[in-house]
Amino acid sequence: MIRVENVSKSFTSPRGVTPVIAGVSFDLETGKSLALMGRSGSGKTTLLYLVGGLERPDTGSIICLDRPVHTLTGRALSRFLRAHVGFLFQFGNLLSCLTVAENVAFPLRLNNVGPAECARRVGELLERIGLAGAAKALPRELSGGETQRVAFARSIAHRPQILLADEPTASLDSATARNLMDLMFRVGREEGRTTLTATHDPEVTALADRALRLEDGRIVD
Amino acid sequence: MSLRLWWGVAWRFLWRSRRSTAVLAAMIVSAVATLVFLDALAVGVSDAMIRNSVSLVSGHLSIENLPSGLSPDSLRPPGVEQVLRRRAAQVWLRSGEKLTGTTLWSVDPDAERNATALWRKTTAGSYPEKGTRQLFLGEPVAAELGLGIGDTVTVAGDPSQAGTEYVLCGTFRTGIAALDKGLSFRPDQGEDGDSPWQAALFLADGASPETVRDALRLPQEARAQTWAERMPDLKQLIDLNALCMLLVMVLVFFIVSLGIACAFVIFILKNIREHGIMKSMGVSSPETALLLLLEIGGLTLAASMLGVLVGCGLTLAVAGPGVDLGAMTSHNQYFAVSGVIYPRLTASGLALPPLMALLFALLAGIWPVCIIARQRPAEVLRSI
Repeated sequence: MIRVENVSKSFTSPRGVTPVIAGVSFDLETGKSLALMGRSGSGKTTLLYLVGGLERPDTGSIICLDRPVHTLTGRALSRFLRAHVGFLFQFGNLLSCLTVAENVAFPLRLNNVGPAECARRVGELLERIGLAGAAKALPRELSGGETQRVAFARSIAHRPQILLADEPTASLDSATARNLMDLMFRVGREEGRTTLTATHDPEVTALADRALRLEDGRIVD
Repeated sequence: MSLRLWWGVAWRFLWRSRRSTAVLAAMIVSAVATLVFLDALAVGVSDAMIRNSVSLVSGHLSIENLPSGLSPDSLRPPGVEQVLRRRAAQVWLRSGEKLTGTTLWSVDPDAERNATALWRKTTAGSYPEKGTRQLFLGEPVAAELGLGIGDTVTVAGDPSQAGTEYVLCGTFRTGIAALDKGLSFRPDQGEDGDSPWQAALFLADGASPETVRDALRLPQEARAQTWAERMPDLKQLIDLNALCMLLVMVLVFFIVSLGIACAFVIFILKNIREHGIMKSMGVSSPETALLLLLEIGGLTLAASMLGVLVGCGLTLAVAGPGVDLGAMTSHNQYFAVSGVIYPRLTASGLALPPLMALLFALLAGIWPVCIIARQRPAEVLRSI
């Protein structure tokens, strides 16, 4: 369960204070998916980061899996992120010095999964995303679609209860995007994962259980 | 926090950023290699000064007031290569009306020629032969007495005595006034009877005079002095040399560490995206710091080891032929015999540069580690 209550966030710059999220509240039940829609600058990414604990709200509260994420810092936040959250970014953001297999294995290693189980899970995931032959490739050797599929595999490798996806299809062609989203929502349902996706894409929205539209940091629909 | 995991990641960061790693490593390798060589050279200079000073006449350890019945063989604990037996007497040298006092050493000419270098400083004539009544005088003494090679000189314990006649066989000049004006030599023919004798002990390379002295069982009346006690000025010079070398090391690594710090800031900022991504996956700030310190430490350690090998190679290449600094040492009393320097590797010379490199690199790493550890993942991710 994710509960966001009256959350506001603004950024201060030399140009002044810019409100990005203003009084946002919503609930997302465990195992369900929610698409956050809106134009660029509407606050989708900031809201994802707030839910994932990467940003702290100015006001309001965020409860994820019964934990007050808005108060978590340091080790507590690290433990929460590595155990329960998977991030899927717009451009994959693979670790460039690690191979495909090492990237997928990284969250497992962070969670102290043993080498044998790690290798089994990585093999299973790479098989599932159709990149079993690219295990030893470096990220620079992959296409955009392949990069995003590996990023997806990495984001769910440790079976997180929450997946936060930030415009995961924005850099992909429509066919690749469709395949990836099908996979993401299907696996999410299979594994009972709560998925929060920021997107422009109506096709992605259609795959989610619910959708919210953000405009100027407020939920409008 | 799994050290194995972070070491694996650190290694991959370094190995897969080969160009940056190579540049950083080259900086450390060159600094360490230079310092290993410089230290070996400084040790070589100190060795040369000691070798020159002790090999001229005095030896590494000199023992006075030994009873005449004591055998030189009893002064050979491990580390002693040669023991020279000498008898010293305060005498007067007379040539016609001219008279001067000197310390006359009765020596075994063959043994002296084998162990000491004074005979190489002969300026006229030759070193005395065994079983002859010959004298070997410092050039200033011979000049004071108006003597030439082959002239007769009278040796007496008291100016009023008739004395014994000797032939001047050779003169020497070392450049050390105390030797040139104060010491004279003759072959030992038992003229001094049962008087106490003195020993000059020449030690093997690396043997400590203090250890050898402790190992000797000397009669109570005997007095043993190491070269360092006999020549405190030389000891201070060598200590000063070592201190200067240490200062050079600290200064070199202070400067190199600034370079390392800047290079690591660039290296780490280049990878800031990766650190932001890792933090979003739950990597904590201490783990980030550990990763960076492992990168810095691992790279520095490996580069330092390579630097030590390069420094050793350079030293060994030069140590064979030696470095002839004769042109710069010809008027220096501590290089009276030879100005050739043989660089020598020592345990401290091999250990200090890599340790300094590691210490300074880790200090240099504090700045970039602080930058990255304080960076919030959301800021980094937004900047990608």
